[in-house]
Amino acid sequence: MDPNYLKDIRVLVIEDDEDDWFLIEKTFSSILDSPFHAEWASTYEAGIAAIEEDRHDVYLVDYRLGVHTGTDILELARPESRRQPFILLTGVSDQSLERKTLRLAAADYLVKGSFDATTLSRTLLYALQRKYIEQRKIDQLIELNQAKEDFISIASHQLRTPATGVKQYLGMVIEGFAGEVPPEQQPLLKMAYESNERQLRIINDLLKVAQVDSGKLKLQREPVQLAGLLRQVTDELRGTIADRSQSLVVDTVPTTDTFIGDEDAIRMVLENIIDNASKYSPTGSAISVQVWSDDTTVTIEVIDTGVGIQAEDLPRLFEKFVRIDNPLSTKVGGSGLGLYWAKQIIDLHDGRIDYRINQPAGSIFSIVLPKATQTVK
Amino acid sequence: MAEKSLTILIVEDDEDLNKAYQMIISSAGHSVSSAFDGKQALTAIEGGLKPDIIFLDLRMPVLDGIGFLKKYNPNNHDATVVVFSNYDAQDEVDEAFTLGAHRYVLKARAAPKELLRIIADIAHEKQAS
Repeated sequence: MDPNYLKDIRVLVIEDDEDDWFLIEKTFSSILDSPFHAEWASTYEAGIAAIEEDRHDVYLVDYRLGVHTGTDILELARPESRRQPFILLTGVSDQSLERKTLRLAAADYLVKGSFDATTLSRTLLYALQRKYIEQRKIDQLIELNQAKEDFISIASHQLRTPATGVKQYLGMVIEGFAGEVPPEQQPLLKMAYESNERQLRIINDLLKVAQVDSGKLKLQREPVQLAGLLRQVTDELRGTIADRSQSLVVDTVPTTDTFIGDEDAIRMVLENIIDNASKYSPTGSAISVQVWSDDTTVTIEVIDTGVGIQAEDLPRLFEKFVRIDNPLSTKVGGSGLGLYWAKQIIDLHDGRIDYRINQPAGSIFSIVLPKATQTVK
Repeated sequence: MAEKSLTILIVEDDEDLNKAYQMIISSAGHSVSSAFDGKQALTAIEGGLKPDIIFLDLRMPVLDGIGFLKKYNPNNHDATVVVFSNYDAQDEVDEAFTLGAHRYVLKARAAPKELLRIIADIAHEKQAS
């Protein structure tokens, strides 16, 4: 254990009664081989200012501070998010106050006049030690989380390049770069190509999620015309949907409907939702995209008549790595990250993504985004 | 359609991918040179190579795509620079565009046909201009 945190300890005493401060100071001076250097803040305001300076190791806070109280300081300073412990000083022992200070994450509680130098020293040192251990655990968790994110990122990057190589070489064979492919080999190569495509999608999903989770995703905030964006999305997906003998029906969108956001990110979200609708719907069915707007928002609904989602699975729908069991889930395959990522992106746009069950069968996903005329934070 | 043969430089550090791109592009009758990092690409250009198109990976050792663009400065050359991008590399693509790159193609979507379509598009633009 690092013993340095128990040496040269700077204590800030926030106490508006000068006599009480003298008593506390006297108690400090009777601690043998004292590691403490006590400083005095004589008002609530001076105390808050000194806490903001963040140069002390522990705070001793009087409960009565003029019109304020020590718990006001706890509420403002939020001890749970600081590296220093807060210890409250009161005139009398009071259980309800004790519970309140505990709830506000104070480290301890001392009753004025009833503690000596030994108790004061022990209270401060133990509070410091608990905080130190707590902080070490937090640091370890942060480190562990970082290591996990680094691992996902590095592994995905390393996996992506060879998977892209497979795509190119298989693509060349399928497209006849190395001579005509015998008909009986064509479906096998196509399946290999599709498996590789799925692998690439999962790798990309992992990377996108790692990026959004680490807070490194920078989104554009520009007016985006919905009609143009939907045209791009449907052009992109029409072939895939036609391959499944399905149709994609898109509402006519008024060209004036514009939202504020990142065009690429929203395009990927829409592609994901529409592609899901298609993947989980029967051959020959139609996927419908409906769009409308009001004064402040635009809404895009993707409606299918596929396998749908059971009511009991709904709470987990947008969680990470969740794949909902349904008759097609093993056949379709996926990372369980698409909807999680979509929700993060929509949340970052101050928008909303919702799900409801379609009757008699299928799913309705709706995405609501702030309209361009609205001020977005 | 009779397409003019172009000189195309591939800058990609992964050997297998670099080779795949070479095979795809040369199959369409274009003249292909390759480099495995930005420095090699600059050396080739300084040695007299005048590419019509540069396919540029962004993440490479020695000198990455951004470093290459800063030194090469596409605005002073005729080559069309096509950046190889990934879903998670939007910032780098944006920076590449401010440094003069002209297009980008998502690696995960760059099937052989797609690469040849991009080249045909650029050849068409160059003929028209």
